[in-house]
Amino acid sequence: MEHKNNPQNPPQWAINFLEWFCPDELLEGLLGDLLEQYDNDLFSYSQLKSNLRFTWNVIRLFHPAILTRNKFSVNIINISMFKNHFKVAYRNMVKAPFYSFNNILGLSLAIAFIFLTFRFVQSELNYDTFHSKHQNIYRLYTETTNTQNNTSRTSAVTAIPLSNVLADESTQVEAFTRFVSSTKEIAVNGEYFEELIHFADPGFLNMFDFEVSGIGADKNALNQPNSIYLSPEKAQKYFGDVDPVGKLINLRINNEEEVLTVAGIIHPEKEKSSIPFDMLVSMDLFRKDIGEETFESFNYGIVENFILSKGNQSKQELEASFSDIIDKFISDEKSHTKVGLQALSSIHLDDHITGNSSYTSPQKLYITGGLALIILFISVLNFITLSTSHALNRAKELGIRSTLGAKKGALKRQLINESFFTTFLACAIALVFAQISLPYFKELTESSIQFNFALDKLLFIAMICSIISVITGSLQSYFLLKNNIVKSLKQGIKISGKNSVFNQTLMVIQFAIATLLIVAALGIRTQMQFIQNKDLGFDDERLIEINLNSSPDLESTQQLVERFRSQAIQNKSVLAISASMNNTDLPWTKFGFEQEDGHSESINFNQIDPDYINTMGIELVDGQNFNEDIKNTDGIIVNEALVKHFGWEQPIGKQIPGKNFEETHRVIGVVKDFHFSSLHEQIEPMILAEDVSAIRSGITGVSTFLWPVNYYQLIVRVDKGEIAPVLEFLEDTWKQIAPDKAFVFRFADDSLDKKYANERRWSKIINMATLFAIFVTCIGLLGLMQLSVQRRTKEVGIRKILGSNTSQIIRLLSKEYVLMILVGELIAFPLAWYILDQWLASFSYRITLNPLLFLAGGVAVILISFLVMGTQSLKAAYSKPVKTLKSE
Amino acid sequence: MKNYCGEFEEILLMMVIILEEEAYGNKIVQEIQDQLNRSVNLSAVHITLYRLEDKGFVKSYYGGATNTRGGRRKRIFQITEAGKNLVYEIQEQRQKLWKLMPGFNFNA
Repeated sequence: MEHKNNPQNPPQWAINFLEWFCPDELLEGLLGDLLEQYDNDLFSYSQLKSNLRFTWNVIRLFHPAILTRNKFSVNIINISMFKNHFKVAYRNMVKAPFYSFNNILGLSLAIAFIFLTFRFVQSELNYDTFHSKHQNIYRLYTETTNTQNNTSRTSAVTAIPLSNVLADESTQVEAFTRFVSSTKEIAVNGEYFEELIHFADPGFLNMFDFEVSGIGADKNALNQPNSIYLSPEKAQKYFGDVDPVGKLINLRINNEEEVLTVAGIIHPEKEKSSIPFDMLVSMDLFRKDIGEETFESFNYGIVENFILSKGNQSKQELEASFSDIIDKFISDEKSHTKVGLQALSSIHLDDHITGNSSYTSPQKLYITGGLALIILFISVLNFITLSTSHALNRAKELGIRSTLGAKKGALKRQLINESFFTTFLACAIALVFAQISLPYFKELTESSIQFNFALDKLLFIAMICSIISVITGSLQSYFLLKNNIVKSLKQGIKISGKNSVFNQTLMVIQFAIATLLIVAALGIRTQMQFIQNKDLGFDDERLIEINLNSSPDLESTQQLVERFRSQAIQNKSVLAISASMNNTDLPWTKFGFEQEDGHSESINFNQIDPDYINTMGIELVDGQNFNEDIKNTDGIIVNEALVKHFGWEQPIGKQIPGKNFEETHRVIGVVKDFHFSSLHEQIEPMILAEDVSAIRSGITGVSTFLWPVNYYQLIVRVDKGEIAPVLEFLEDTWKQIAPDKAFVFRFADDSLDKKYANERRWSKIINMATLFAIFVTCIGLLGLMQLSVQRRTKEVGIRKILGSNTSQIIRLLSKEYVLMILVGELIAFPLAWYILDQWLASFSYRITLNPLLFLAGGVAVILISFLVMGTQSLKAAYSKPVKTLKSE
Repeated sequence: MKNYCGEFEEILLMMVIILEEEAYGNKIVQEIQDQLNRSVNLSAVHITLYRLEDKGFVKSYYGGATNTRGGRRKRIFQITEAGKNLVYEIQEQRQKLWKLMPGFNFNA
């Protein structure tokens, strides 16, 4: 064997790597073998291949069998070292109970919150993915572009025949279903109820994986118009614990009672599905309900269309081919309609293209996630400030460890281990907190997350735990160990300039966040109060709305209203009664009126009776009301917004412009603007009419929750005093005149209130976060004060002897913190202004941001901090100098 | 069986017995190649040998200094009593099973 003069060498980094992880006692034999093989390889292979083989072998050796031997040989020391670290950590914790309590409490609250948020975000992102075919299920939407003015409208509430036609014409559609809901009256065992009924095609049960249960349940009953599926809750409500399959339910469709047989219990999985339903019946019943013509028309957006694709074509290809097909069915020279697809799993978080399905604004996720991060951030900041300052007290211990031979690395590891110990405890407590606060959190976020310890959650907690402990541990060791640790034995570590600047910065950030949150909370609160106290233009208190459950027949409805009115008005507490089409709960009917130039005027409409203006408490500013005795078929009353919109100077006698108008309707009165929708929206132009025929010919478009035009609502104004007996009286009266109709009522102020539920919830969440931030900041401040007071005990003692009084000492001790607070507030104010202004932009009627608001927030932070600092500095100021100076 | 042993482990045990004083990583790889015409990875051999050492079937010591391999000593593996017993035990059990197999008769 000939030796080469310049032996080629294997890659050095691989050798280094091996040396790093391989235990010393194995290294020599192993590396020897590897090098020998490498030399042999060089004879048979190229150098590259030999190098690769060598490296591959090294990588193969990075194996538990080798690594754990490593642990075995070195770890005998390591385990006892760990034990010692934890023991010391425990002792330190017990020695400074106040500090440890603060630390762990703050951290565990933050971890609990971030854990819940993680679960929330996770469950939101996984909506609708439990259907096995979800990757091929799409909801159809249409994008209609008006070719004349180039505006386009996108909606996932689409025409009824859309998916039906696509399934017929396209080879790519495996199944389809339409999905729509309507509030209907049902009768079970002769008793009447109002329920939201959902209609679907047979494809519904094939596409989606909703489980159908019950003895003898039929899993394909949607092709039979006389079957109904019930959710477990509804089955329980109507049939108790008895198996409901085969039981009968009467459903009123188009004023005829259909007898339906319960086909099974269906599980809607509402906590992870954005297609919520309780009672599911065949689409055929919907056809019967709205009539053949509407059912086959492409002109109305009524249902949600879902298709199951065969999965051979991409979303874009499908969209293109579908749009081509639809072109054949919708021919309109003024507009062009394109068909788009929304993947089922994306529906839940899409707030641009929405249908009837429930969706969450992704903003909700960002805000909750953001708040969780802020909270975690301040807790970690707090942990760092507290622990770095606290660690200075341990300089002696570390000095001794160092003299006894501990290397810097070992000391660093000790500090990280200790942080880990604290964080681990905090995590454990956090899980308890999370469990306790789960119901509250669920309510706040309107989600139905569950609590379990599946692997991903434990991993998440472990991740949080290690990140926090490594960050805090490293920072602590950086500040402690950069000084000559042995010197510290003699002199004690001084807070070096850098350290205190660092801690001060952290403190400033905490004050800034606290101020930001407090100002935001105050701002939101002020706006909510503004909304509550805003004059709506009508009196929403003691106003009761009763559902009429009208038959399509206008005349019989009017008779029902008259009978109710004549009976109910006899009660002295009932001040006025009126009938109306629209109510305070749902958006009003909107009519489009096409103009000569092609654009369309969209105007709200409500059909009312002459008592409406009086009952609602609306002010008539011009002209007159409808006549009580003679039905007015050509007069309309409009609001000031409409008058302003059309720029009329003399509104009385005017007509609504529109190219299709035939009848001679005219404006007979003008009412003052009142808020018929929420304060998020401007008051829009509106028409009140006793009879829609006055303007019918001009109507070229409709968007409405209620159809046909009729009275759907009784409005009752009730006098001050006990409300319960009046309600009882109203119900009795209703049962007398309409024994076959359910008595469903709501208070107008409640339904208006519901429109701000979202804001109210956010305001609650922000309040909670604010409280938390302030709490944690105070804890941090308290901890820091305590430490700085401790360090300056002697100084305080001497100053007292030399004649300082209490107030001077307090000023001395709290001076630097006051500065930090002020700097923090200065940072927070512009940020808070920007955020609040953004939020307020979503309201049409909003407060203007007042500097006082910021001042109040700032002063609150200062006061709370002074309270906290006061306790500590007072303690110092009142301490007896004899004692403090004597103590060593 | 009290002591479970995989196929690869069994081969390595036998190799350690066969090679006696020369039973170190590379030689074992070489011998397996020569005798069984099977290519094995040096790292796998090492890892398995350490595992066998943990189980007490082999023990190891460093041989004398060498001139090649940068003067590094070889780690020589040696069979222990327990290791020998295990190899015999495996052999006996195999034998027993062979006898139970219908249609396979060594003596025929």
